Amino acid sequence: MLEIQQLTGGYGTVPVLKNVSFTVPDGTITGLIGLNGAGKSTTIKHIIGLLHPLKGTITVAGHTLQADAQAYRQALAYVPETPVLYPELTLKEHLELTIMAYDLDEKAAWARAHDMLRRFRLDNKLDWFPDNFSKGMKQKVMIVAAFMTDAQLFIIDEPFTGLDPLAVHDLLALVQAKKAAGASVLMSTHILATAQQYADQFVLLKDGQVRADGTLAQLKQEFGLADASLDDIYLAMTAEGSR
Amino acid sequence: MKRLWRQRLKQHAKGQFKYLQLVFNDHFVLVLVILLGALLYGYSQVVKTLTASWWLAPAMALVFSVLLALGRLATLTEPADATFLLPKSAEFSQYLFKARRYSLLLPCVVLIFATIAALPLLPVLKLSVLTAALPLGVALLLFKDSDLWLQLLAFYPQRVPRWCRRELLLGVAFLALWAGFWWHPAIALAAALVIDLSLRWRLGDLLAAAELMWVPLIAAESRRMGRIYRFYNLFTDVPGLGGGVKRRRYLDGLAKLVPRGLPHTWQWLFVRGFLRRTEFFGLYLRLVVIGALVIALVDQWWLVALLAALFTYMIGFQLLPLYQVYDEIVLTYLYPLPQPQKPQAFKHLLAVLLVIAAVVLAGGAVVSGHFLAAAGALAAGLIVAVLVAWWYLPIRLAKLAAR
Repeated sequence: MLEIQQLTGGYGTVPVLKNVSFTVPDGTITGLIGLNGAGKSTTIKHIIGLLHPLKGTITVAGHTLQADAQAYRQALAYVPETPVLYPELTLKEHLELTIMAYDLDEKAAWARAHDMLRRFRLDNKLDWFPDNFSKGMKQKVMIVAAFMTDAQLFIIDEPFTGLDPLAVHDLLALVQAKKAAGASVLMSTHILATAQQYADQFVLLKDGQVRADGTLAQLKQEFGLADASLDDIYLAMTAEGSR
Repeated sequence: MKRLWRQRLKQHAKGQFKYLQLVFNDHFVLVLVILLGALLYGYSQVVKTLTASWWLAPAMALVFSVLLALGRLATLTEPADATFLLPKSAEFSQYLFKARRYSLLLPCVVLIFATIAALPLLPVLKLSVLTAALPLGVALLLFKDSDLWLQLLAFYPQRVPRWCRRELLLGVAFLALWAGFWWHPAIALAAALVIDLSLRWRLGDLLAAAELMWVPLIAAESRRMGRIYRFYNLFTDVPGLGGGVKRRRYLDGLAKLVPRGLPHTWQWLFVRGFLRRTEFFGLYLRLVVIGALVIALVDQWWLVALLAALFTYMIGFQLLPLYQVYDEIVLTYLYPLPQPQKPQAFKHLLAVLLVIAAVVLAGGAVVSGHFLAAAGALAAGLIVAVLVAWWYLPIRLAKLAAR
């Protein structure tokens, strides 16, 4: 469960985010939607602790970064939009490192990892340097590393660009399995059709503020568009400012 | 074109100044001063014992020829110039003349200092310092002037005869300097004057209607800057010159010495970074081997100890950037690891590597049979290792954290 309350923050002292509040309950998938520059990545950076809030609190599974950084980080897994891997580690060593850093049970973690590696057709590349892989393959490595952990919150930044359709399908299966197991998932994306299909609720960011949030039905009501798709709502939201 | 040159030079100076500031940080300057002092002292000792031998003149000629060869034409061109300035090819020679004059500056300073350093050797060659020093200095400057003209002409090759190259010039300079040290430097001066004047006299002809070769020009400049940046990279982090990664499977045994498990996570990572990133392991090996060789060649025990301390310090200093190589990898921020694990792991690795280095350096003195010197080197190296890991490293890390 992720809870963000009155988050104001950004780079330096100029706030990009203004009073952002939303919740990702256990066992749900939330889509984080907004134009480029709306504050999606900034929000994610605050959650994972790369940026420090000027105001407001962020709670992951009951922990804050200030009170108990280790427990907070233990509860969180993140798949970045641009995969960055250790140039000097093999694929196998990346997973070993993850097991060490999160203090996972080696056998169970490897069983999960092997299953995912087979799905992503990476199981024959364990001794390779993933830094030389293509973007999609690197992203798969990051997905495997993130989904190996016992995190309660998964943050996935724009997962659908760079992955082949088969991998997108497999990733969504992984996400749904985690959801079924009670974890919460926050997914930022521009692929609205997929988001509409898989996410339980949405947070619409605009100019660093939450313009609307809730289920698709709630959003339809909010924007007064009865049979709208997420796409229509998105266009309606972006048109608001230009009027 | 002249304005373009001025602007480029300003830009270049600013960039270089930034790097030089990082290279010559306070500690490194201290080490350099000590090293320079030791070098000058050693040189003065050597000069005292020198007697006139047949090899002295050619050896000095060789040293000066090598110094002459240093200093390339700095054109400060950028890859985009070949596209954007192509229509201005004819006027671009004005820019290059300015660049040539600028390139003359640093080599001239070096050559003048070298001439001054050679003064005590002139009496050994039975030359009068009064009459020999000036012709020698001027000859060197004239040779360098010709050399830079030739380097410039290499980018306008159409009308320049094939034999007209800087390798030939350097060969002639070597012979002229040899003759100069043998009889009198006035000979070298005469040769340099003839070459430089005839080159300048023919210059108009050679350059007229010749086309500038942009591609070699820019390739040469990027090679030159690459060399400079690689040098800076020994001291600080040059963006885009991170160095590569090699698998080095044969070192996996060493990497496996660190046990797995949560408390060893950072150590496990650092040891792999050290062994597989080319900029650390290669440098470490080179410095240890060079240091051991230098120590094996030196007799005085105090100099051996000083060198061991110096090399241990330098190795430690070169390893410090390893601490930051993971700063750009977001995963390392996410790991639920206790904060102090990273600095502790790094200190551990640094201490182990420096102790190994100190032992190998002392081994250099053992090989040459100086056991007292070896003990001194070991003690000095170990003291520096401890100082770097327990005293200097925390200060550096605190500085980093404050940024």
